Amino acid sequence: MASALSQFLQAVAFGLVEASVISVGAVGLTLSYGVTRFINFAYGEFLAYGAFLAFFLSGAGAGVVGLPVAAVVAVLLVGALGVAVSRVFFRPISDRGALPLLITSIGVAFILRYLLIAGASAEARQLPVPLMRPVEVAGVGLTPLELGVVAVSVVTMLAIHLLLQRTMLGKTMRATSGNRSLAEVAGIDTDAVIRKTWFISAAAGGLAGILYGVLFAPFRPTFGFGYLIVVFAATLLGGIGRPYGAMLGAVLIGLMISLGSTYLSASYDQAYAFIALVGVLLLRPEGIRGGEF
Amino acid sequence: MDRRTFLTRTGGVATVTLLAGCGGDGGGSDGGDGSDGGSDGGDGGDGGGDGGDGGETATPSDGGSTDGGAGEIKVGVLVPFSGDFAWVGENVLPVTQMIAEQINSEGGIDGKEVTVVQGDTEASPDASLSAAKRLIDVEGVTGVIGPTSITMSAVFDQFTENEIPSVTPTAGTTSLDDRGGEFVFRTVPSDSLGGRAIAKAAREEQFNTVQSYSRMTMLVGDKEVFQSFKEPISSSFEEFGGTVAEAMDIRTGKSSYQSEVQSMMSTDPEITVLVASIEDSIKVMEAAFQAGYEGNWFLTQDQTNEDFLSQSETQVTNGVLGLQEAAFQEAQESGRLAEFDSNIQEYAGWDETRLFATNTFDAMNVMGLAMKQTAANGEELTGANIAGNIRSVANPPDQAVTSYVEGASAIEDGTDVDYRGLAGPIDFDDVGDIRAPFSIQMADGGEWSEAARLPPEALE
Repeated sequence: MASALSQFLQAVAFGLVEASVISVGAVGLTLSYGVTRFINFAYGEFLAYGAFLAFFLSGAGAGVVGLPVAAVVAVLLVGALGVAVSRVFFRPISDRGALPLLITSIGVAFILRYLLIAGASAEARQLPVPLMRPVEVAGVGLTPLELGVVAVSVVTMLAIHLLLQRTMLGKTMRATSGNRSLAEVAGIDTDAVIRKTWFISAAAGGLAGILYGVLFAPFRPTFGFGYLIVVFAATLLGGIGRPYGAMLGAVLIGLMISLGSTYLSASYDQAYAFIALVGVLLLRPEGIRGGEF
Repeated sequence: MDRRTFLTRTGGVATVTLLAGCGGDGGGSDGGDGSDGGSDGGDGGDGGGDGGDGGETATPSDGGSTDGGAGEIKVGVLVPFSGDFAWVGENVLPVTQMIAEQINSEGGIDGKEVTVVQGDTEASPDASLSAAKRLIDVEGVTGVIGPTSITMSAVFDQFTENEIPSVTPTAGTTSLDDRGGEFVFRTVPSDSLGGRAIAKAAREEQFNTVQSYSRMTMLVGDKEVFQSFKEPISSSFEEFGGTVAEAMDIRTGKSSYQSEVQSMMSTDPEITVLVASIEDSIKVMEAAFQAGYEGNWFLTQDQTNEDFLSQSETQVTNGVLGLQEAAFQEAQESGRLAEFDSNIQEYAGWDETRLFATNTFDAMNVMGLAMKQTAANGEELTGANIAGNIRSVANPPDQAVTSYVEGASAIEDGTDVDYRGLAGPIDFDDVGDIRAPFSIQMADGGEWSEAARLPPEALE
């Protein structure tokens, strides 16, 4: 009985750890949707670029700096990459509606992915993180590394919360997301807001990729697109365009994957995310968290 | 020159369609347009036999070309050259080419040059079937080195139906345990022997130097190449008196194996046998380490290599047991193995002799000797005839030889030979399988070293 309970708690703990990675990615994706109004399929590549830039900047690759510094630099670089990608590919067609943008983003995803493979090879890589033994509390064991991932994620969520609620940028982002024309009329430089949102969104993607790399090593340059599907599920579950919904969606998806893998079959991990998604969309098509931003 | 090459190529086609004809409908021939070949291809080396056949057998695919008057005899290398298993091709091809050059420097087979043709199976059954058909129908090979376990089931019938001998250095699959021996042979021990070796070595301390493990759990990838090990290991382990707590399948290529590891640990094993790709194995073992697993691991030949250890953390791999084919003692003591090592490393530019290299050496030597024997018997160089001579050049009694060069001169003198290889004595049983010794390796500080040796008798 005790072991059944601790097995359940362990599965919940693992689910929350994975939810940490998903939520960072889902919040980033949903922020960019909020202001640009199209689903960016190239978003998964930001994850891959984050992990690979961190790899090459840190001890494992070129060995320039330690992993924490490498991670920060990688996140900033991916943010800049997001801005560049939006400038080159999306801005010129931003008035053509969502569909051309969506199709373009698929193309951009391929371009980014194969540029990465060309530059970094398709080999599997591991970030230079030490392997640790678990720390057990009440029958639940997590490594300090896993706890660190959760902590980084929680801090990121708090930062995004403060950004949205307490800063002028956050307010203009919410305004632009709510009604772009009205925001423009109100004197908001929506182009600048969109640019900054791209930066934050891509940077969050990069960070999610690094967290993924810490947890799920070894990883390959193609992991971003595969994981994008899970991130999508969390985003849609939370109601796309709604950051708090995305956080909640991520927790649900993380738990579904972990509990499903533990109690049903470990072979279908991502399928559980979709079962949850389909269920919620059938019952509440607007996502679990309706309402505004 | 071009025309000559063209004729040789198409000549090969005629030879093969002949073979296909024999296999398919008992030699039925349409007597079409093959007759022009005799003059065109008039290549003294190929003997009367081929010319005559070219005349009597022709199919539309001949396209009005020559008979079998080719100045070459082709051997196909049917293994993955692209994709995740491209390393197999990289390991097998240079050895095959090196032996082919040796055969040719001895004057070839009955005056014909042996040429090596690649067939890329991409480690996929579909691709492998079309590659096999291309080798047999278009290239006109008379023998095949390969394929691997992954695609053996897909192409097995191609060899038997077309009567083309395959000597595979790479297919340990248990699906060959009860078939083969007529056209399909292998110079690599069956996985069921390997699996039995793992069970034996885990069960008895004298073969692993750690302890006599009695409780085992298995984590087995869900691909045929891994599943092949499952039954031999678990049934043998129980036969030797151990308990298999659970044999779990794991999906190949997942990003995380946390849940699988939790289930594995809940069975409380003393040792876990992990049969999976290197990448998945690293994930599984790191996840288990991070989840606090204290038991030991036993790995198969696929992970018992430098590649695996160089990508893993030593704190995870220290003390881990692995299976390798042992060097054949006779080959080691006589210096043949060292000689091969330096030859192939120089020829292929390798730093170390790679997996399947010695098996390929044996496979290609057996193929070459069987061809030589066929020619010496005055038989036509068809797949069927060559296949028929494989067992006679490999099995005792007769004069022991250890290379093509040595064997070929013995055959020329009219002596029957018994090829003894690098991987083992290479004596094929009824189903074309060999027996071989195994080596139990232990990882320490990022390097493998031999903990014990498991002779073939220990597995009976």
